[in-house]
Amino acid sequence: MIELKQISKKYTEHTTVLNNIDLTIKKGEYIAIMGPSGAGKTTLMNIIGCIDSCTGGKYILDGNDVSSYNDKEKARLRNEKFGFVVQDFGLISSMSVFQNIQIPLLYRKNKKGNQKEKIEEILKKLKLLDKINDNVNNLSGGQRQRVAIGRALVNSPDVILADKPTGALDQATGKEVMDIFTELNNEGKTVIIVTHDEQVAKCCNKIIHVVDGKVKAM
Amino acid sequence: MTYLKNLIRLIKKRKCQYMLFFLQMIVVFLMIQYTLNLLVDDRLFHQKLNSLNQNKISTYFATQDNDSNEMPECSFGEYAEFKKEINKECNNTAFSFSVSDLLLKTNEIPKRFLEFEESHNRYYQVTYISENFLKFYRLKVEQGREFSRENYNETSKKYISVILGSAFQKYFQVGNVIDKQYKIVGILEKKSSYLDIQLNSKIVSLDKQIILPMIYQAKEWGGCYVNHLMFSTEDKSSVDRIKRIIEKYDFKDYNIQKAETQINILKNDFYTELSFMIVLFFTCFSLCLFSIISMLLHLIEEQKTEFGIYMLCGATKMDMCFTIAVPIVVLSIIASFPSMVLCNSIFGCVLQIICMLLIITIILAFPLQYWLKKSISELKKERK
Repeated sequence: MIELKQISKKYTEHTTVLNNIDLTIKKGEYIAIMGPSGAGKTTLMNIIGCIDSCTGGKYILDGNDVSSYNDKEKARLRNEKFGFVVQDFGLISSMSVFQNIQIPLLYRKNKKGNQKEKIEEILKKLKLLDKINDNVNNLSGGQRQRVAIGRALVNSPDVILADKPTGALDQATGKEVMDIFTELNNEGKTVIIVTHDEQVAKCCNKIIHVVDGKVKAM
Repeated sequence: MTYLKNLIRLIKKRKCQYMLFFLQMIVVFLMIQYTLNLLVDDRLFHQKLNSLNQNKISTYFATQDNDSNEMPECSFGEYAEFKKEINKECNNTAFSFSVSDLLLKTNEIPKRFLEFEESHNRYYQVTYISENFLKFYRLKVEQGREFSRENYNETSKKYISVILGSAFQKYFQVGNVIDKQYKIVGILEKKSSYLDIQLNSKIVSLDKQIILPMIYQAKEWGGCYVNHLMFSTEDKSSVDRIKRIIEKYDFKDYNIQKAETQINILKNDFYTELSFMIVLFFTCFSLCLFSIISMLLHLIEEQKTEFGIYMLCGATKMDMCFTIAVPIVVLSIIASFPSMVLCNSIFGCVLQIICMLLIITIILAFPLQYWLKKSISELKKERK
């Protein structure tokens, strides 16, 4: 469970992006975060995903106060608890599909288990097994986003954080990607998506509006 | 293993930049090696200069006029008399030396000791010395003994006594006889050398030299003693008397000069060369460092998207620091090998290693600081 208590984020004395946000996200929720540009949606997601630190308040993750965690501890959380999917896919162009998905496994604390088998299992689920050794540059947008989802899933995280995952895709491909997220949520994963797209938000169970650094759930 | 593969992939992807870095580091380390050698030479040079000022007694040397090509004529008998008269005037401090070559037939000496070869005859460099030479330059024999008084003054013995430089000790021992003629009585300490302030003002190493008593050269050419004559005295009138002795033996165009003046000229020349080389070194070194650090910063900028993705997947900033630093450290160590090979002492190698670690620290400090200031959220933004 994710609990944000009075979370604030200031970049300078005069620039407050998030202002005393209280938010609780239960396990298995399917949430869309919406709001105008500059509202603080990505900053909120960065704080949830331990990419950024809050300047005030407490962040409780599964009962642990992670607000004061150091870089190493946050990196471990990013590796084990969260899976990230970003708008421009976030893939390394010189690597193959297999190598891109393998990245989180390189930094996993517990390196037991067969990496190849795990990756093949995920690619089978995402219908990309035949592309396993292809360079990611040779894939379509939809396929690349599926590779990104595969990478996000490889360490079996509890929470998937997606920042405008369909932003670079056409409608049909975007729907395919959203279907994958829905399926993941049905399997019990918490899925949090930042989006401007109403159609994407409609797929989710809960919509959180962020306006001027404050949150309003609907 | 996968981590190593990723590292290799990163290097391959930017092989031109890393190759340029590698070549620059080779140049930097060779420059450091050269400068360290100069500084070691400086230390040696000072030691030798100090030996010339021992006991604060003034040292003088005989020098022939620059435009004179006359070899001083002198018979063997006159050589002995001349030597005796000179030493009487300067309290037996006079000495001399002469560099020549010696024909040897033995096959036991490796080619690297060869001075030259002519018509299948092998010639090796020999230094003829008189009494006081070893004492004056504070040269010591590590094995065996120095020449005795008899060795310096008599030639009637069955064997000619020789002292060898330390490089010979792999091949000969004290007591061995070379060419059935030359008996080894001593082997000098390692790194024995002297400063020839007259001719070329260089430190002359004796490690590969064969040393004989001057009397064997005097048999052919008695005037050899005056050619590199040096003596010490505080009595200026004895200098005048020595000049008159030289004139008496009709050694034309020889003057007596105080070593101090020459030493000061040598010092100035040496320091001018040293200063110039050090300035040149620092200029080249600074330019190389600037270029290397700029290249590293550029590499980090190029790779920051990739690093951002790694950090999103659970890598820490320190992991990325290792990814930046490891190729640099490995390539630097490999680049230092040519200069290590040129090191001729353990001390030099240790200094070289310390310099290498210092340089690696300097070149990594600024780029890593730059990298550590970046946050993942910044990297995410910059990707867009």
